[in-house]
Amino acid sequence: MFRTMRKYARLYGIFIKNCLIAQMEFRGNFMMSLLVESVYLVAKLLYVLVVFRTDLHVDGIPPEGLLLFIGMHTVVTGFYVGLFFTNFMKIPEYVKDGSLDLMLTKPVSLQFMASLRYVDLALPIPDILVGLVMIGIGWHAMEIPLTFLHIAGFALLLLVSMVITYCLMIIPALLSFRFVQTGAVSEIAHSVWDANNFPMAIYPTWVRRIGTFVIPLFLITNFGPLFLLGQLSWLYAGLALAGSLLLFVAIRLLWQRAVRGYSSASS
Amino acid sequence: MNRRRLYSAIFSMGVQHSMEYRLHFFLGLLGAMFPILVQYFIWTAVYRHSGQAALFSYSYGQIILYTILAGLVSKLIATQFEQQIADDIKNGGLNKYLIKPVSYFGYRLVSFFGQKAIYYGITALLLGGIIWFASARGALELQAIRLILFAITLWGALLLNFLIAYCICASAFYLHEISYFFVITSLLVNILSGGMFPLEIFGESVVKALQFTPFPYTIYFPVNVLSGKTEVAAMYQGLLIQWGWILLFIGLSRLTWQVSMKKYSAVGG
Repeated sequence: MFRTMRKYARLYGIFIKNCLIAQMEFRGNFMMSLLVESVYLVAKLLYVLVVFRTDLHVDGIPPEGLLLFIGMHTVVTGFYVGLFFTNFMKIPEYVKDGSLDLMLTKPVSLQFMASLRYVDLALPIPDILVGLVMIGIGWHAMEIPLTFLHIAGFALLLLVSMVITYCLMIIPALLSFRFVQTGAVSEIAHSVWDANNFPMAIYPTWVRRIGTFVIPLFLITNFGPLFLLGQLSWLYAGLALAGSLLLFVAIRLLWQRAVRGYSSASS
Repeated sequence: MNRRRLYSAIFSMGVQHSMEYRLHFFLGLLGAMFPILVQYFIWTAVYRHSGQAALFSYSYGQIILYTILAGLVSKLIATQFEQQIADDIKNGGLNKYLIKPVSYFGYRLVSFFGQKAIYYGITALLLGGIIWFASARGALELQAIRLILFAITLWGALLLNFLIAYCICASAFYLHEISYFFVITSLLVNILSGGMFPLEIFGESVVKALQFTPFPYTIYFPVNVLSGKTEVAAMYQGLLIQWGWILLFIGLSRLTWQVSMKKYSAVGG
């Protein structure tokens, strides 16, 4: 088990190195990726503008506290666009043009190869930087102590967020094993993703329940900041971790089921 | 083939193209609803907390109406042909239009209107329902003249947005990899047009400055004509300015393409 994990970690390191070399070959594209994500970030920051210009308080949390939620969303978006987005967009192409065949023959997990092969190192830079700054401002303004326990709890919930992000955002790509056009489903998934840049308290109870227990989208942005604000105990943090691992197992089973229905298209 | 038959064939092709993947088309419509819903909940929280009757000069009803209408209008006027034009320029697809008795501008414009025709019809139905609901709830005072002017300004917005995008497309003659550029410009144009939020959130001076650009006349202006935010006199003035921008951009698009075409080397095709 440990040896397998080491093998995959080494392989992932090689993927990152390979992607970095490829991106540095076309430095103009690297800069344009940075610029594109920065413009998307500007669009997201308009929400911050509205929060501060209207002095919005949600569930007693002042605008500075809301920065924790928007910052968390921005950081996780950075990880999503950097680690998963390119891969998830490519999966339907692999299925359509039959290039999944070649991956099937390789001595590594197909899911690992298809969903983690590419890493974009330009796209996440603005999101992660600005997101961390927002979290820092919120952390300081809300007078949250900077202790090991707070940092460890927040880091754990960030990890949970990334696992849930992987599991939820791969679903449109999984549909490509059954349908030809899945672009609109991805578009809907991204629209729903953007619904998560505010505390779930702004939504009615039934939306919160769906977003927590059915499609656990709200866990991604809400649990980290709620933990910092002292509104989430270690027990719930542990439950979130267990829930994310269960979700990962479910997605793994779904992937295996989808691949069983794959019939080579070409090559 | 005479010109009328030619362009009606192109229009028909545009309509067929938009309905090629029907499920995709309707899911796209559904996708447009989510950002509207998110903003609805955000604005509801903002107004509930502030306790004020109006923020940024909009009442709660007006801001919700603006959010819904701006979401629909921005989806309606979205162009999405930039990459096709860039590919035509890069891969030589433009060649076949240069040697045939059809104007590339005319082809793109009529095809664009054809692609939007069904969407325009569905949006009209949706708008009918929203207008009826908003007027029944007292959020909108229904006036025939505003409805007529809204329909006119909406067509104007469609045309103006097409022309802005067509001018931007001329940059494909000079830039090799341009897909990123289109993403940036379309997002910025949407923000400056009031497609995400009403322009008032940027402050009074920015709103005044933006009045000297064509952007507000694609989303912000038509929506405010219908919602009643724009005064009667300002409506006619705005309509004139919108068509002034359209005329200016017709000239600008011809000029930019004539100049840029000299750079074209007709490779491939």
